[in-house]
Amino acid sequence: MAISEAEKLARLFLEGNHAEALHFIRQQPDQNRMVLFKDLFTPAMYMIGDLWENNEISVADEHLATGVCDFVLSRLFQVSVEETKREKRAMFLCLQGEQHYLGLKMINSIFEEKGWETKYYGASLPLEYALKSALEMKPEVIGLSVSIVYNLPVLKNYVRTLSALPNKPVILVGGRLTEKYDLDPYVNNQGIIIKNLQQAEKWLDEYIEERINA
Amino acid sequence: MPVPYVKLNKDGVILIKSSRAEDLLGIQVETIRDCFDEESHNKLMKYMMPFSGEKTFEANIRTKDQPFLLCDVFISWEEEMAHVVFIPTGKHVQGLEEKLLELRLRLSSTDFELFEKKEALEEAMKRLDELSGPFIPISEKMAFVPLFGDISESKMLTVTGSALKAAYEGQFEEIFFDLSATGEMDESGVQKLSELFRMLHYMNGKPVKIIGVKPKHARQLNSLEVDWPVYFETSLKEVLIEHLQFEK
Repeated sequence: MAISEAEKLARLFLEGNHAEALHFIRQQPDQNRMVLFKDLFTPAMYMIGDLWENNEISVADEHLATGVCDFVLSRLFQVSVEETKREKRAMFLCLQGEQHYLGLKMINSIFEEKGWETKYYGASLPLEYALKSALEMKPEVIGLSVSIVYNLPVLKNYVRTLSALPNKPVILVGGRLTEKYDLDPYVNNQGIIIKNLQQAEKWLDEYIEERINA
Repeated sequence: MPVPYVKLNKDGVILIKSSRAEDLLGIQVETIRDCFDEESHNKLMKYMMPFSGEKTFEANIRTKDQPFLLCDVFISWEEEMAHVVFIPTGKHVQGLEEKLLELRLRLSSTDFELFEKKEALEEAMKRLDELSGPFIPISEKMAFVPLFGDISESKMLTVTGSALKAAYEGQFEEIFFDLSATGEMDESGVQKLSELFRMLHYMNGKPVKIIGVKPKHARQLNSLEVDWPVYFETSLKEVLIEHLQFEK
């Protein structure tokens, strides 16, 4: 059976072959970030999770693949270094103890592509730091990511605290758990649950439209 | 028993726990499902039907002190009973995680535009090194290698690669190295150049010849106590005249 493009990418990640993985992505016919994230990066990383579940690879292999994927994302979609202040600002972080940051990184990249100034904190950011940073930056949007069930109680605290900031930021909650569990009780109407990349993009487009019309 | 061990019936109810298993999992656990992190349940279920032989898999175990701890799980079935041993994977994966974290921090602080420029520069430097020691066949038996610029280790390594390849492909009896256009020499560069001369000597059965040595080089070579397996000639001009007369 022919292997899918996503599977090819997953194999390159597992081999630790960052140069080939970069090349593979660069030669894709459609270079739209959203398409690459949705059709290649995300399914490739899910496949790697399945391989662990099927006992075909170890956690060490997963770590290597994560590192390579992170490198490729950083290399291709570099966070812009220009200093100019942009009008729309967003901040992205994983809850404390949370190490699954690749999805968040992709969302951050989508916001950047659409002209937002972003601050990406990646894995495990304690609430006090998030709060301090948000007070300084005053982002309109704060994106949180949660993938581990034990972190759910903490989620409640993050959402409540951050949504109460003086500039009333919109809190987006994403991560692997959103598709498996009902997170409404934790978010408590103070945030918006985003289940996947498409929903994030849809929300973002609608938000911009409302902003223009307002 | 020196390892965490539990014995189960086919419904997954724990019948016996070793004292190490109690230390790891706590005294209260009743079923094997209780020992596994929710996300590892699917994986566990694949091993809960009796099979022959023994199997090993990685899973996150819910311990007394931590919500999950990565363990290698060994399982074998005997009649309707399963024997399960948990070995925490411990330090090596933890070490890996720390390395990954370091890499991640490094990544977030890397300016990739600069990084790419650096890569391009390195490529250009290598190209420059290659061009600083061209291997020129003058006749079928004679080759000429003028060295340009400073004699550094990286340049000599690049020159060595191309010179050995060319010398291997041609059948040269005499190879001349010309130092007229060289600048500074450092110790490691001279060292690598010596190795190249020695290799060419072995390949050809004849020492290479050096021309264009300046007094400055002679002093430097002397102070580095270089013992090159070579002949020194004065200049290319003389060598060529001599060679042409010989061929006539």
